[in-house]
Amino acid sequence: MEQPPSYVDQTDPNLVCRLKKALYDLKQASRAWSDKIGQYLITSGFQTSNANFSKA
Amino acid sequence: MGEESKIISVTTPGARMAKKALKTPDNNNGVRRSTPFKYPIQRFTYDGFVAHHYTYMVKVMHEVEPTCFEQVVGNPKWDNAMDEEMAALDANATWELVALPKDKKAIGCKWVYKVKHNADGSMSRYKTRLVAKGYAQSYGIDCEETYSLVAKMTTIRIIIIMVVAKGWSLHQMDVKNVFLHGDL
Repeated sequence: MEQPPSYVDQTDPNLVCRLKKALYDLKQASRAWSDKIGQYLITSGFQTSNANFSKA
Repeated sequence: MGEESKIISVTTPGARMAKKALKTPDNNNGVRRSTPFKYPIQRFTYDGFVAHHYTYMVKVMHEVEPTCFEQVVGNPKWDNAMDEEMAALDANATWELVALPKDKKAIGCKWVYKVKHNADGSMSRYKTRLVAKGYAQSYGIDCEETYSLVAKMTTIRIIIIMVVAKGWSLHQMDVKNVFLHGDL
């Protein structure tokens, strides 16, 4: 992703942002969140429902 | 509240067409010029609000939300808000700066600005959010799996029914900045 307007690195304005975390409006954003919350819920002892699982 | 609604309908003419909209646009060789309205509903006005609704609207509409970065340059309140958001993104290690691989294009991003109000219409805070231009991503090149599983409404209903039937207590929560938590 391009560097954000007004926060472009002065020394390296040509570098780009390699995203490690999701950002709003990325296509992957909702999926990334659902994976994250799913993992957390399972490690917290929740179990997926067979009827309507929201964690693959 | 019910009383007030009644008063509105009795004492005011209610919704009516704006005078501006009634004027026919100048005809140019029979070609109809477009009106300044983007949506048909914008041609309607309504002036039957009670005093405290007016007060609320004046407060809420007093400050214009900038639509692009150019409009906020040098404006300290928005600069502060952006600084805060940048600090949060930094703390979250959202990205690292790298050189763009050859023949690749980086997707853009932009700032969006929002004035937050309290329930009484008073100013709460200036909020900015950095959003990626996700519409520029193409499936298979920039991203693959985008499908996100969600709970079915029937499942949620069944849970509520069970809570009622068994006398359980139910908690509801909200996650702040939810989309910033996901790992890529």
